[in-house]
Amino acid sequence: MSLEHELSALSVPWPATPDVAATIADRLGAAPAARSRNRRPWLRPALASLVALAIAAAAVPPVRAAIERLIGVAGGERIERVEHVPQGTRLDLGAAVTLAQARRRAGFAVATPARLGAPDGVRLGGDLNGRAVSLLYGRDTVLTEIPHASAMLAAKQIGPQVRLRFVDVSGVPGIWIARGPRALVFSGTGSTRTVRRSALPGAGVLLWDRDGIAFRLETRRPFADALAIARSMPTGP
Amino acid sequence: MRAYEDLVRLHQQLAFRTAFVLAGSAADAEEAVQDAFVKAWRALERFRPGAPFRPWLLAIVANEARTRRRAATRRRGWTERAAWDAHAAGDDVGPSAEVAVLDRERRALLLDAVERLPERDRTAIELRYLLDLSEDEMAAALGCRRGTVKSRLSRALARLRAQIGEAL
Repeated sequence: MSLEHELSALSVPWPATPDVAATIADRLGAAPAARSRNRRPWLRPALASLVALAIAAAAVPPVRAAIERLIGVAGGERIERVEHVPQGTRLDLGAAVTLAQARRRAGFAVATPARLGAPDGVRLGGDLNGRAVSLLYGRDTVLTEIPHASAMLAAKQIGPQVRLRFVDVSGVPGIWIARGPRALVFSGTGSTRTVRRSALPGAGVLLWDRDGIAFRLETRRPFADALAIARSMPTGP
Repeated sequence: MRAYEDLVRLHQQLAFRTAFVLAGSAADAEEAVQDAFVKAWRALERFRPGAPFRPWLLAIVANEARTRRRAATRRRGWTERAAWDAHAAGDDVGPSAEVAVLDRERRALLLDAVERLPERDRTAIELRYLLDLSEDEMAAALGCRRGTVKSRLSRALARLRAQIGEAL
């Protein structure tokens, strides 16, 4: 057998091919309206409901502007690209508790990522929500879990240059926001709003949802590590 | 959109593996392929109807993959991957145990020799023989002319033969 034939017949251990098609569909569906207005026959339900609300609001200019800068919805947050990211105080993750206390008081099965194991510290409540549970790992990673039923939809505003990745987290769509200017904006009654910056300066954040829980993984580790951590979360009932 | 999703699914394995060869890591390859398919979608209007789709797509994939290649990252070699990947260990089952052992040894020798080639040669061998790309597709992925692909392949094969000869 010639060397060329031998090479063609070689079986090599390729890494598993990710299902890019599903992620691409999400990513194109959630692309900014200005780019894909004419090519978008479908949208993810969360995004669609927001757009429907905007149409119902008769496309009042400020609402229309908000929709056009909308990138996607994940982890209980709607993500928007803005020219100027507002300043705010650091996000408060709540009071220190044990994992058992957090599970009991928050009233849901707080899961831990297999890749990281038991957390070094646990926080409950804070700015995000009374039932938000944050697991602290060292000084570089925080995983927060919030039941959808109690989560308020906050706006994650990111600067023009911040890089995004639309990823697949064990079968559900997620959005990775690389480090860079960003703020979390909670709208109050009327025109009041509260602005918070990251609990971990210099961190990126991965947002996704599964089984009625919103997940936000803030970490200073590289994107690949963040994704690996997210994918190591239990997915079964 | 649905049609494009099907198109992506049809080509995602080839695109991912091409990106893996060029970028050197699965994570970078995944990012590269995602970005490439999004860019391809936005550039579809410029795609000439009737032209072959694969070279056009592979050129976009390769471009994204190359920008992600990090010089400091050493790719885990095929032999190392094979040892690490349990499924690969069971691939070679020959007609007899003795033949199987010989096949495995020959395979390990070849993979190791490919891995030790200079990067340009290794890339050419992997795209042509492991991924079965045509010379036109290789030219698109490597950003060079078909003639250059032929000479690169010929040089890479000569080096590979020399390495295998030394090993025997």
